[in-house]
Amino acid sequence: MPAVRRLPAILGLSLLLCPAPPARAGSRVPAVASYRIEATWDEERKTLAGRETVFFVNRTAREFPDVLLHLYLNGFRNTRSTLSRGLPPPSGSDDFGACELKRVALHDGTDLTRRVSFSPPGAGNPDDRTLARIPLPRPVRPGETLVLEVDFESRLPRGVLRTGWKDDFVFAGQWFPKLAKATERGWRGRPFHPSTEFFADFGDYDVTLLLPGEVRGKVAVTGRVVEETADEAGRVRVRARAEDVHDFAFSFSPRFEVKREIVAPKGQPKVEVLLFLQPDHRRSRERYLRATREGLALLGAWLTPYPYPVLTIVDPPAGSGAEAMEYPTLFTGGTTWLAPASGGEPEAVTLHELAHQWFHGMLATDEVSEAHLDEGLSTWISARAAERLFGTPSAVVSAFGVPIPLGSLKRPLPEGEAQDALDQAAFSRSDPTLRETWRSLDDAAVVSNAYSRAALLLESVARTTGEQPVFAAVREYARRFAFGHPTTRDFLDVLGEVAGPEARDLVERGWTSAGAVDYAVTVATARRAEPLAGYVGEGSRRAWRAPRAPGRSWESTVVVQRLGEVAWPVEVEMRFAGGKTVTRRWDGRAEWMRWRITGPRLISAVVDPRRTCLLDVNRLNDGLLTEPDPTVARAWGHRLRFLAQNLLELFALLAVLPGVPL
Amino acid sequence: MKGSALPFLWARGLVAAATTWKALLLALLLNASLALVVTAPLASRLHDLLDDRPAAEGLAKGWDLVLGAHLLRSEPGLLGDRARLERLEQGVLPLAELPRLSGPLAGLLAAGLLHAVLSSLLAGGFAGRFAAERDRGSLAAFFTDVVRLGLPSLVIGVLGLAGVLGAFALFVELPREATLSPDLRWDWERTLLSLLRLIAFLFATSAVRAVVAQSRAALGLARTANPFLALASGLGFVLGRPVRALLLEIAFGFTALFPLVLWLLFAPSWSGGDPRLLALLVAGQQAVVLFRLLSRTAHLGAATAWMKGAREAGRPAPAKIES
Repeated sequence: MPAVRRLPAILGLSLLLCPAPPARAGSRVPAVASYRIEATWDEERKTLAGRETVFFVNRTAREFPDVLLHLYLNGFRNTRSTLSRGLPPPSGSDDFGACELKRVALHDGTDLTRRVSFSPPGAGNPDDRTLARIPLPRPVRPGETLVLEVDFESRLPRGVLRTGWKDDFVFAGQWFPKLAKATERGWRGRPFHPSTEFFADFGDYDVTLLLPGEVRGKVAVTGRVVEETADEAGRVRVRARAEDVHDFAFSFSPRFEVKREIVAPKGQPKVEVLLFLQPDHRRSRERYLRATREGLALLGAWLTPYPYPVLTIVDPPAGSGAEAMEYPTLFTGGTTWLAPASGGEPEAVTLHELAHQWFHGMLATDEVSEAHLDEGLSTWISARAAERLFGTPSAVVSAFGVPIPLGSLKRPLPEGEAQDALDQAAFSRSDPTLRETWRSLDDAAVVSNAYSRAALLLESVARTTGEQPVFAAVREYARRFAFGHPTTRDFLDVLGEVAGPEARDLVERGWTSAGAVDYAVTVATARRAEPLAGYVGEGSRRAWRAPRAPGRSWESTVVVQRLGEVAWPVEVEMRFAGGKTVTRRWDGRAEWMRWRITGPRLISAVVDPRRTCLLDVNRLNDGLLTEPDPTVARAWGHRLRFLAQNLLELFALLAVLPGVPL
Repeated sequence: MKGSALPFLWARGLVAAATTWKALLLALLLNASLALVVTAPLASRLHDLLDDRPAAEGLAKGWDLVLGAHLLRSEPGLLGDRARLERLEQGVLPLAELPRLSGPLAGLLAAGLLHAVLSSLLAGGFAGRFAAERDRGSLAAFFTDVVRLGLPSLVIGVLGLAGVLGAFALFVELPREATLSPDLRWDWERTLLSLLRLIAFLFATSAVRAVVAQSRAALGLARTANPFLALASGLGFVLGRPVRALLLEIAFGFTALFPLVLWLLFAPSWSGGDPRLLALLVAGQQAVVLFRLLSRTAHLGAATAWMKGAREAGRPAPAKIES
């Protein structure tokens, strides 16, 4: 290239490099992606008009010739976006959102706006605008800092997929142009997909928001609010700062009731807990706070202490679409006006989102491709915490908007929540967990693999190989990769190192197969042992023994078959008359295993009698009796007849089937 | 206490129903037989599935959510189409889809309709007996009345059913989306509006049932067996005394449900073993169902007594004969 033609580029390049981002106190991780944002909320248009300064520090060993920006809100832009495939059909203009890049420039003023292109090659949908690529005048070299000025306007849709507004409640998630994740292989960014979440670098955020004056003191943010001032127009200027985080969300509503509490778990740093509560959820206030307080202590002890000084809980109104979402130092809960105490909500959702403060907040895994790492671990450990702190919740049915707890009908965690996942494993078998999450067949596959099945797998491994080693491994994983971006390989390596190769092998088996675990006792018989008959002995000693009547001992046969694709080590317990029990261990790898035992009469054979493997899709076939026992079916026949009698009488009374849509 | 006072009518209805005990036992037999037939395939299938499985022990005391899910996974069609069943559980299965139910639920629906038809026919017999001055307990007279008034009673029952279904569609189905709309600001709005739907439906159903009861009473008291005249008479009667007619319906509704609620709360569960406990429980259960039948019949008895009383009160007093 001639020198004259290279001049503008050279000038641009000299200005590309800039001082490091604003000084930060108490940094836990070298910042890669930091933001200084100023944005103004327009209540009428539901827009945030903003200007952001993006600081990208290239801490990789490679050069970046361009910048990849996520414009997540463009997922709501029209019905051709990748995200729209997972959204309900729009009912009006309020259902649409957007993130418009008004101007993109380098710190020196070099305008890059015209260079912006959308849907990079390989993104799979040319109509999608959730990824913007901006070529740079010259690459960002290792160790250099790129400073980008971006003017944007974001329009929030009516609350859906955990962002948007409902009446005067606003939850702004993924609202600003955000850098994709910088890796040694270049930018890692995928279009906003309906079943997946996010992946980003750590950094610092300095955000100033101009909001309606009525929300003063009622703004929940990632990090903490450091300044709130009124402007001449009666609006409130809120400045928030967050360090060592990889995202920034905020929420406000004039109706929030704010509760502040200092939590000091024993031996752990103090945490200021802020709860932003809906007035009609007042009954849940103490339940949110107790779950958070005790959850911080328990998860801090099980993993690593919560490292931030503040934790914010946003309780969204029903129907806002903002329930149950995690952001660094901030999460949303979910409860209802009449949430029954024994139903376990909002405690369970609080603990789950709190667990995300570790598994995604600090261990910033790739939620787009490896959702099992954050959702699976959070589901498992929060289920453990919920059972420990609050006991087993009861099932709750809802009739005409009134939740009715069914006291005696228990919903053990994580099993009670995971039956859909087992259905998926038993019937669909569409995707192994290790398939990139966004490539999964459908939302059901994602939810099944990433959440429940991963949780059941971890619980099963803990029960099979020992609870303590698995807990120790998860703790070590959390400690070693805090403020990092671990992968499945990292998790498996730590598991193998701390809990042993069997634990690692089992998790790997569970994650690499789309199939199910299913062991069945297919034969359990006992018959009188035949005395030795026929020709006995060799040569001249050969003798004839005539068949005789069977003796007193029994020959019992048990066959256990592996009907599922995934092998699991199991115990087989055989019970005999007189109370004798024989237990055999089987590595579960072969298609079947047979045992023949002579002695007392076999009563029953049960595979996995201690219920170590919760992934088994059919518990009914886990055992077999040698003699049928009709008592249970008889009892249910009796109950069903009485139920039918009363339903029939109701027919005569109302002449309609009871229980139809309420 | 006046003859048309609510407690008086309530007690009179129960006494009148008790005098027809033979017919009530017949109705109980009908109910129990239908229940036996409709549950037999499912009960038999449960024996196939559970009898040789040790895990079934977990279901002995009652339902277990996890084990139940495993049972339905191993036998997806056990209760019929799973997708429809789930929608039924969630309360989002439209009434129009009911005929497309399959499996035991479809059997229950068919048996329920048959039971409703037979009950309507028997109601003709009860209406005739309550209107009669003599032989209330006579089974022969009861059957004569069934033959005479059964069909007109059935016509009234079918119209009542149409009314109840209409009320269901109008108050429960149609406004469902609106009352559960995410656009509502507060949780309590959603709950109260949903409850309002329920109350409106129950109110309408009670009104329909009150009209049906008074119409059947009119049928028994009339000389002709014209269901439409009876319906007009019943409707007119209820419209003239709407509050008391509804209260009477509600009183008998609660009377019928009371022993069932007590049973569900306090009765022990049979786990398939002790036959003496089974005998005791079956006797108790039949007593509960019989009391429900008695309460339903008593409503008709009370309606008849009330209507008869009202007619007598409305008749001009005979002229005084002076000697």
